[in-house]
Amino acid sequence: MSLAPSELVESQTSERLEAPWVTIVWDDPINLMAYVTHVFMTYFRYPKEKAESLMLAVHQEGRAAVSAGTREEMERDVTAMHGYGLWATLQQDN
Amino acid sequence: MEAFKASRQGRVTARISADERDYLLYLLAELEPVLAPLPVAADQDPLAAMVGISSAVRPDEPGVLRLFPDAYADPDAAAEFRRFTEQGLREAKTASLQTMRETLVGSGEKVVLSRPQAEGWISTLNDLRLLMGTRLGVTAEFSFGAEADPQDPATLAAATYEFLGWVQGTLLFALDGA
Repeated sequence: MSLAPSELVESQTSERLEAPWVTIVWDDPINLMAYVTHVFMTYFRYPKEKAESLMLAVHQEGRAAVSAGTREEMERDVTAMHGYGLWATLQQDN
Repeated sequence: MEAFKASRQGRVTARISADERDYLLYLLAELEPVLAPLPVAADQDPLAAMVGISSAVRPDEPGVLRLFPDAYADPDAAAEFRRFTEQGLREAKTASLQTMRETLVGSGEKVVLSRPQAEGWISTLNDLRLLMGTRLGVTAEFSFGAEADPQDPATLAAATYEFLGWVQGTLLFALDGA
Protein backbone atom coordinates (compact mmCIF):
# COMPACT_ATOMS: atom_id res chain seq x y z
CA MET A 1 0.00 0.00 0.00
CA SER A 2 1.40 3.35 -0.97
CA LEU A 3 1.16 6.53 1.05
CA ALA A 4 -1.15 9.23 -0.22
CA PRO A 5 0.84 12.27 -1.40
CA SER A 6 -0.44 14.45 1.43
CA GLU A 7 0.68 11.93 4.05
CA LEU A 8 4.09 11.65 2.41
CA VAL A 9 4.57 15.40 2.53
CA GLU A 10 3.49 15.49 6.15
CA SER A 11 5.92 12.76 7.14
CA GLN A 12 8.83 14.48 5.40
CA THR A 13 7.96 17.77 7.05
CA SER A 14 7.86 16.35 10.56
CA GLU A 15 11.15 14.53 9.97
CA ARG A 16 12.69 17.80 8.92
CA LEU A 17 11.36 19.55 12.03
CA GLU A 18 12.93 16.87 14.18
CA ALA A 19 16.41 17.20 12.66
CA PRO A 20 18.78 17.89 15.54
CA TRP A 21 20.28 21.28 16.21
CA VAL A 22 23.98 21.71 16.85
CA THR A 23 26.15 24.24 18.65
CA ILE A 24 29.06 25.32 16.46
CA VAL A 25 32.18 26.89 18.00
CA TRP A 26 34.28 28.93 15.57
CA ASP A 27 38.03 29.43 15.68
CA ASP A 28 39.34 32.81 16.75
CA PRO A 29 42.89 34.09 17.20
CA ILE A 30 42.41 35.41 20.75
CA ASN A 31 41.12 32.63 22.99
CA LEU A 32 43.95 30.53 24.41
CA MET A 33 43.84 26.84 23.49
CA ALA A 34 44.01 25.93 27.19
CA TYR A 35 41.03 28.22 27.80
CA VAL A 36 38.85 26.63 25.10
CA THR A 37 39.67 23.19 26.54
CA HIS A 38 38.86 24.49 30.03
CA VAL A 39 35.44 25.73 28.87
CA PHE A 40 34.55 22.40 27.23
CA MET A 41 35.57 20.55 30.41
CA THR A 42 33.83 22.96 32.77
CA TYR A 43 30.54 23.55 30.95
CA PHE A 44 29.95 20.30 29.06
CA ARG A 45 31.74 18.15 31.68
CA TYR A 46 33.63 16.51 28.83
CA PRO A 47 36.68 14.47 29.85
CA LYS A 48 39.97 16.23 29.16
CA GLU A 49 40.77 14.09 26.09
CA LYS A 50 37.45 14.84 24.40
CA ALA A 51 37.67 18.54 25.31
CA GLU A 52 41.18 18.76 23.84
CA SER A 53 40.24 16.96 20.63
CA LEU A 54 37.24 19.28 20.15
CA MET A 55 39.45 22.31 20.82
CA LEU A 56 41.92 21.06 18.18
CA ALA A 57 39.07 20.46 15.71
CA VAL A 58 37.94 24.07 16.19
CA HIS A 59 41.50 25.33 15.80
CA GLN A 60 42.48 23.23 12.79
CA GLU A 61 39.19 23.08 10.87
CA GLY A 62 37.98 26.55 11.76
CA ARG A 63 34.81 25.26 13.41
CA ALA A 64 33.42 22.22 15.19
CA ALA A 65 30.04 21.01 16.42
CA VAL A 66 30.47 20.71 20.18
CA SER A 67 26.96 19.63 21.21
CA ALA A 68 23.68 18.48 19.65
CA GLY A 69 20.08 18.42 20.83
CA THR A 70 16.86 20.38 20.67
CA ARG A 71 16.81 23.99 19.58
CA GLU A 72 16.13 25.09 23.17
CA GLU A 73 19.08 23.06 24.47
CA MET A 74 21.38 24.51 21.82
CA GLU A 75 20.22 28.05 22.59
CA ARG A 76 21.22 27.38 26.18
CA ASP A 77 24.63 26.03 25.12
CA VAL A 78 25.31 28.93 22.74
CA THR A 79 24.40 31.44 25.44
CA ALA A 80 26.77 29.69 27.83
CA MET A 81 29.57 29.75 25.21
CA HIS A 82 29.01 33.49 24.74
CA GLY A 83 29.20 33.88 28.51
CA TYR A 84 32.64 32.28 28.37
CA GLY A 85 33.63 34.43 25.39
CA LEU A 86 33.72 31.65 22.81
CA TRP A 87 32.40 32.53 19.36
CA ALA A 88 29.42 30.15 18.93
CA THR A 89 26.31 29.84 16.78
CA LEU A 90 23.51 27.29 16.51
CA GLN A 91 22.01 25.74 13.42
CA GLN A 92 19.92 22.81 12.32
CA ASP A 93 22.12 19.86 11.38
CA ASN A 94 20.87 18.97 7.91
CA MET B 1 53.57 39.24 39.52
CA GLU B 2 54.33 35.56 39.73
CA ALA B 3 52.47 32.63 38.17
CA PHE B 4 49.42 31.29 40.01
CA LYS B 5 50.04 28.05 41.87
CA ALA B 6 47.61 25.49 43.24
CA SER B 7 47.53 25.47 47.05
CA ARG B 8 45.54 23.76 49.78
CA GLN B 9 41.77 23.25 49.63
CA GLY B 10 41.61 23.77 45.88
CA ARG B 11 42.77 27.38 46.10
CA VAL B 12 45.19 29.13 43.77
CA THR B 13 47.62 31.84 44.88
CA ALA B 14 50.07 34.32 43.38
CA ARG B 15 52.17 37.20 44.63
CA ILE B 16 51.30 40.55 43.09
CA SER B 17 52.84 44.01 43.40
CA ALA B 18 50.85 47.12 44.28
CA ASP B 19 51.51 48.55 40.79
CA GLU B 20 50.22 45.41 39.09
CA ARG B 21 47.14 45.38 41.30
CA ASP B 22 46.44 49.04 40.50
CA TYR B 23 46.91 48.46 36.78
CA LEU B 24 44.49 45.50 36.77
CA LEU B 25 41.96 47.60 38.72
CA TYR B 26 42.34 50.36 36.12
CA LEU B 27 41.66 47.86 33.31
CA LEU B 28 38.57 46.57 35.14
CA ALA B 29 37.27 50.15 35.45
CA GLU B 30 37.69 50.53 31.68
CA LEU B 31 35.93 47.23 30.97
CA GLU B 32 33.03 47.72 33.41
CA PRO B 33 30.92 50.15 31.33
CA VAL B 34 31.35 47.95 28.23
CA LEU B 35 29.87 44.97 30.08
CA ALA B 36 27.30 46.86 32.17
CA PRO B 37 23.63 45.83 31.85
CA LEU B 38 21.65 48.12 29.58
CA PRO B 39 19.38 50.67 31.28
CA VAL B 40 15.66 49.90 31.09
CA ALA B 41 14.07 52.30 28.60
CA ALA B 42 11.17 54.44 29.83
CA ASP B 43 8.79 52.89 27.30
CA GLN B 44 9.88 49.32 27.99
CA ASP B 45 7.57 46.68 29.46
CA PRO B 46 8.76 46.40 33.09
CA LEU B 47 7.72 42.75 33.34
CA ALA B 48 9.76 41.91 30.23
CA ALA B 49 12.74 43.76 31.74
CA MET B 50 12.32 41.76 34.95
CA VAL B 51 12.86 38.47 33.10
CA GLY B 52 15.85 39.78 31.21
CA ILE B 53 14.25 40.75 27.89
CA SER B 54 15.91 43.94 26.74
CA SER B 55 16.00 46.25 23.75
CA ALA B 56 19.61 45.23 23.01
CA VAL B 57 20.67 45.76 19.40
CA ARG B 58 23.71 44.42 17.54
CA PRO B 59 26.79 46.41 18.66
CA ASP B 60 28.52 48.47 15.93
CA GLU B 61 31.97 48.36 17.49
CA PRO B 62 33.81 45.10 16.63
CA GLY B 63 35.31 44.70 20.13
CA VAL B 64 31.88 44.89 21.79
CA LEU B 65 30.34 42.66 19.11
CA ARG B 66 33.02 40.07 19.90
CA LEU B 67 31.85 40.07 23.54
CA PHE B 68 28.18 39.77 22.52
CA PRO B 69 28.23 37.91 19.19
CA ASP B 70 25.31 36.82 17.00
CA ALA B 71 23.93 33.37 17.86
CA TYR B 72 22.37 32.78 14.43
CA ALA B 73 23.61 33.39 10.89
CA ASP B 74 20.14 34.75 10.09
CA PRO B 75 20.07 38.44 11.17
CA ASP B 76 16.41 38.40 12.28
CA ALA B 77 16.85 35.27 14.41
CA ALA B 78 20.07 36.71 15.83
CA ALA B 79 18.36 40.01 16.71
CA GLU B 80 15.47 38.28 18.47
CA PHE B 81 17.80 35.96 20.38
CA ARG B 82 19.89 38.93 21.47
CA ARG B 83 16.86 40.62 23.05
CA PHE B 84 16.33 37.54 25.18
CA THR B 85 19.93 36.84 26.18
CA GLU B 86 22.28 39.83 26.03
CA GLN B 87 21.10 41.41 29.28
CA GLY B 88 21.65 38.15 31.18
CA LEU B 89 25.14 37.84 29.68
CA ARG B 90 25.92 41.40 30.74
CA GLU B 91 24.77 40.67 34.29
CA ALA B 92 26.89 37.49 34.51
CA LYS B 93 29.99 39.15 33.04
CA THR B 94 29.58 42.11 35.39
CA ALA B 95 29.31 39.74 38.37
CA SER B 96 32.60 38.06 37.34
CA LEU B 97 34.26 41.46 37.00
CA GLN B 98 33.07 42.42 40.49
CA THR B 99 34.47 39.15 41.87
CA MET B 100 37.85 39.91 40.34
CA ARG B 101 37.79 43.48 41.67
CA GLU B 102 36.78 42.47 45.20
CA THR B 103 39.48 39.82 45.45
CA LEU B 104 42.08 42.24 44.05
CA VAL B 105 41.12 45.05 46.42
CA GLY B 106 41.09 42.65 49.36
CA SER B 107 44.48 41.13 48.57
CA GLY B 108 47.75 42.26 50.01
CA GLU B 109 50.98 41.07 48.43
CA LYS B 110 49.33 37.73 47.78
CA VAL B 111 46.14 36.97 45.87
CA VAL B 112 44.33 33.88 47.20
CA LEU B 113 41.38 32.62 45.13
CA SER B 114 38.81 29.89 45.66
CA ARG B 115 37.89 27.90 42.55
CA PRO B 116 34.73 29.98 41.83
CA GLN B 117 36.73 33.20 42.31
CA ALA B 118 39.43 31.89 39.97
CA GLU B 119 36.72 31.15 37.37
CA GLY B 120 35.59 34.78 37.70
CA TRP B 121 39.15 35.95 37.06
CA ILE B 122 39.57 33.66 34.06
CA SER B 123 36.31 34.86 32.53
CA THR B 124 37.01 38.55 33.10
CA LEU B 125 40.61 38.29 31.89
CA ASN B 126 39.17 36.67 28.77
CA ASP B 127 36.67 39.49 28.23
CA LEU B 128 39.53 42.02 28.52
CA ARG B 129 41.60 40.01 26.02
CA LEU B 130 38.69 39.73 23.57
CA LEU B 131 38.05 43.47 23.70
CA MET B 132 41.71 44.51 23.46
CA GLY B 133 42.69 41.77 21.00
CA THR B 134 39.85 42.65 18.62
CA ARG B 135 40.71 46.36 18.79
CA LEU B 136 44.41 45.56 18.23
CA GLY B 137 43.49 43.44 15.20
CA VAL B 138 45.17 40.38 16.68
CA THR B 139 45.70 37.53 14.21
CA ALA B 140 46.88 33.96 14.74
CA GLU B 141 50.44 35.12 14.00
CA PHE B 142 50.33 37.97 16.53
CA SER B 143 53.35 38.22 18.75
CA PHE B 144 54.59 41.07 20.84
CA GLY B 145 58.32 41.31 20.33
CA ALA B 146 61.28 43.30 21.55
CA GLU B 147 61.24 45.33 18.32
CA ALA B 148 58.05 47.12 19.45
CA ASP B 149 58.36 50.91 19.50
CA PRO B 150 58.04 52.07 23.14
CA GLN B 151 56.77 55.47 21.96
CA ASP B 152 53.80 53.93 20.15
CA PRO B 153 50.64 53.85 22.33
CA ALA B 154 49.70 50.56 20.66
CA THR B 155 52.80 49.04 22.28
CA LEU B 156 51.31 49.45 25.77
CA ALA B 157 48.05 47.89 24.60
CA ALA B 158 49.90 44.97 23.00
CA ALA B 159 52.07 44.46 26.10
CA THR B 160 48.96 44.57 28.30
CA TYR B 161 47.23 42.03 26.05
CA GLU B 162 50.20 39.69 26.38
CA PHE B 163 50.35 40.19 30.16
CA LEU B 164 46.63 39.36 30.54
CA GLY B 165 47.10 36.20 28.48
CA TRP B 166 50.02 35.19 30.65
CA VAL B 167 48.03 35.68 33.89
CA GLN B 168 45.08 33.77 32.43
CA GLY B 169 47.39 30.98 31.25
CA THR B 170 48.97 30.54 34.69
CA LEU B 171 45.50 30.40 36.29
CA LEU B 172 44.39 27.73 33.82
CA PHE B 173 47.55 25.75 34.46
CA ALA B 174 47.07 26.01 38.23
CA LEU B 175 43.46 24.80 37.93
CA ASP B 176 43.69 22.17 35.18
CA GLY B 177 47.36 21.14 35.15
CA ALA B 178 49.35 20.54 32.00
